[in-house]
Amino acid sequence: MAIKKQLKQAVELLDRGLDKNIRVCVTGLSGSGKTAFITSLINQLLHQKKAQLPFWLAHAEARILGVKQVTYSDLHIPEFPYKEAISALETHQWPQSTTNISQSRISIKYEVKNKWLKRVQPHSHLNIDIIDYPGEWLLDLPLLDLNFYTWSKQFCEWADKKPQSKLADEWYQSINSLLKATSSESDIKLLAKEFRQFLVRCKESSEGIHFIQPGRFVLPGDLDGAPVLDFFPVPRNLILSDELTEKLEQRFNYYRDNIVRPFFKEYFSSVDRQLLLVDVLKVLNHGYDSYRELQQTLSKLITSFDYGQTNWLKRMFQPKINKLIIASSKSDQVPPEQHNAMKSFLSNMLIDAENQVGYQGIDVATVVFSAIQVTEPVLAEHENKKLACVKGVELENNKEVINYPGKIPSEPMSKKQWSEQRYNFIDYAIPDLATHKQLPHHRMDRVIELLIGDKFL
Amino acid sequence: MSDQPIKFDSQSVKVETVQLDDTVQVKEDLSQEQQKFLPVMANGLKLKKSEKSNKWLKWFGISFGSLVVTAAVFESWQFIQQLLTISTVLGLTVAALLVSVVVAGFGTLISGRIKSKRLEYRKSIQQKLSSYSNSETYGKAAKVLDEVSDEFSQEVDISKSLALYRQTVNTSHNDSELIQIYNKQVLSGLDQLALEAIRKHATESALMVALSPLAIADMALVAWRSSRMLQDISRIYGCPQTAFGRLGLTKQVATNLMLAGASEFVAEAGVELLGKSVAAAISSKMAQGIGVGILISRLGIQTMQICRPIKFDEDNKPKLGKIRKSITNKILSMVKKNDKTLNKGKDND
Repeated sequence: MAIKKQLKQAVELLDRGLDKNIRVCVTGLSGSGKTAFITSLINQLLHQKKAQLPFWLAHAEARILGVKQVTYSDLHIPEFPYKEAISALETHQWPQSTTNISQSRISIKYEVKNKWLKRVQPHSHLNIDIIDYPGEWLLDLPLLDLNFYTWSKQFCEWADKKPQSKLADEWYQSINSLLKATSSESDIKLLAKEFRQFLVRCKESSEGIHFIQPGRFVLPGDLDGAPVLDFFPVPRNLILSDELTEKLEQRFNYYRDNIVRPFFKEYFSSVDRQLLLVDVLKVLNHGYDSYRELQQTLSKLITSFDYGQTNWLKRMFQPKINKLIIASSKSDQVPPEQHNAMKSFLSNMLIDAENQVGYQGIDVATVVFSAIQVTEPVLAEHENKKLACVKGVELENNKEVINYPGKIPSEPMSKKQWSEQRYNFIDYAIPDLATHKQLPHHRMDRVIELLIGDKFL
Repeated sequence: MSDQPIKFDSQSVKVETVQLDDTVQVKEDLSQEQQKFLPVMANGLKLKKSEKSNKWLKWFGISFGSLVVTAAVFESWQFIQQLLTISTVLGLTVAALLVSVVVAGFGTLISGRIKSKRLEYRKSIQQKLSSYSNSETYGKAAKVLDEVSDEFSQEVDISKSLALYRQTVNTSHNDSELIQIYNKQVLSGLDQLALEAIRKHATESALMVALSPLAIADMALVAWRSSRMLQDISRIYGCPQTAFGRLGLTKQVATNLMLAGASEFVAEAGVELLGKSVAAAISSKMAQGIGVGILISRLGIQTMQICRPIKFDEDNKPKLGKIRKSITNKILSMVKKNDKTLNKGKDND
């Protein structure tokens, strides 16, 4: 028995020792901080020599010899605009949000610690591929399991719910009036445009709506104006001509099979580690409806990676993704004493999804971090009590403020509690930062350790 | 309601930067009770210690103590009076001497007591820090760690590692993170130092025992060396003990050795002894030396565990292996040297 176990360990070790590439996929809806995270990650890694990263164990053991950006083999993918992001920070701007896919490869040279592998090679290297893409497109993932009818049904159910139902009226009106008339190509185009406008309204609304699907309707990339985007869901109570339905279905299928599927297949296959970024603070600001909607959206996303027999993603990913890290960035907007509550909140929100993923034998970890720290925690005196607040420059009006955002609950709240408790998390501007050294951060080292720490044997 | 969000203009409100200290005071359940016996435990249930104490024994102790003290006072009073009748100068001198003896005695006792109090306090710190690192608190550990650092720096110059620690931590770290960083950046250096002290003392006493011809001398040697080692270790961890205090510390170390699991002890020490049957074959005295060396290093490691403000976890638990190697190497090299000289002698013949 013991020999068998040791043999197994040896094989595992060899396996991990030989695998020198790791593909990290940073997922997250738009606005969850993907670009800031990747910028900070590259920055921390490149400046590791003088960086404070105590919880990245290999670094704490002084085993990291050097880090550099190298060219990657997928030459057709644009490079992650790291330099642009850094120069944006220099001019006190947040990096531009992502509008297209990009990649970056970091190579880390390290000293081998394992006493057996050390004899084979004292130094080794690890290539990390980091993939960035617009969060909007991520929401197309669940489309892969739907056909036009199931999608229409699902979409209309979603559109009837608060808070998006308020915004849907206009679109419903136009679809009702237009469809009764003839269904020429121009009408379809017009309706598709109305549909897109509805989605854009949802995205821009201040209510915190997340499940905006299909993603390329709001962020078309190079598909802008292409006829493939001229379709829309049909409410159940409307009876359409066969010809029209066929046309819409055809386009939906084309969208699903020729745009969404290749995208995920190309960029998401052979992903080893997945980092899911969640903007908890936005949800807290927006209240119960937004919370429930995000919860359902994320659950759908997480489980898209591995539910059901028919799921192609499961077949493709199952042996590969072995770690899911659910992370909430922007922890610097929260007074540090509430970080633990924020972590519990995040983990409570996704407990079901986490449970399902855990059942597949995938490690799930939760972490609360801040990619670029732009505030400073302070104690402010208020009504003779000391209140832990954060101080920073507000993004909206460039005024320095001290903000107490409200108390994050560590237990799930009831609907009533949601309506009673208010939150005010505000976005901060980038202060004066020295960008040629390590960017200030919260727990980036913890995230690095969770993502790639086990690869430094 | 204080839970509701508030936004201030940054000029309009009095502000202090967050010192990582008490924003909320909590009462910790610090069970001060000292374990003296291995408790009977299963599945989280534990047999309570029996509360019965022997009243008669207490009474006896108190009355006996007061009897001795009264007798001593009476005797010395008589003695001084006797001397006074012989000569006033002699009487006064002796009286003065007596007073100085009493004062010095009390002084030693009290200072020992204070220092052993420090050890007790260290234990409470240990409990506090371990409760912080298990629960997710914020802003409480920094103060305790600073206090501990002050105690350390009285005995060892830790300014460099302390500066590194200060550089590493920032306001976002919670208590358990702070403790982990402190553990890695400050305490691990002290651990190295303590292990070096253990290695030195253990090797020395192993050699002495291996060379000494008398069993009784062995015992004295072991007592002497281990006492020195306890002093060194307690100093390294910033809670130095006097002779009296060391007695208490020794008692605790012995109890801990027992509590640490007799099984562990037997397994490790036993294997170490048996494994060195080569040494045993060469000379039983050498084997004894190695055995004593290992025993002393075990004592040392237990002392580290008592004095260290943060308990060891599985990763950084000190290992006997290195010390053992150093001891056996030393002794075996001595044996080889002896062999060589013997062989040389033979060659000469």
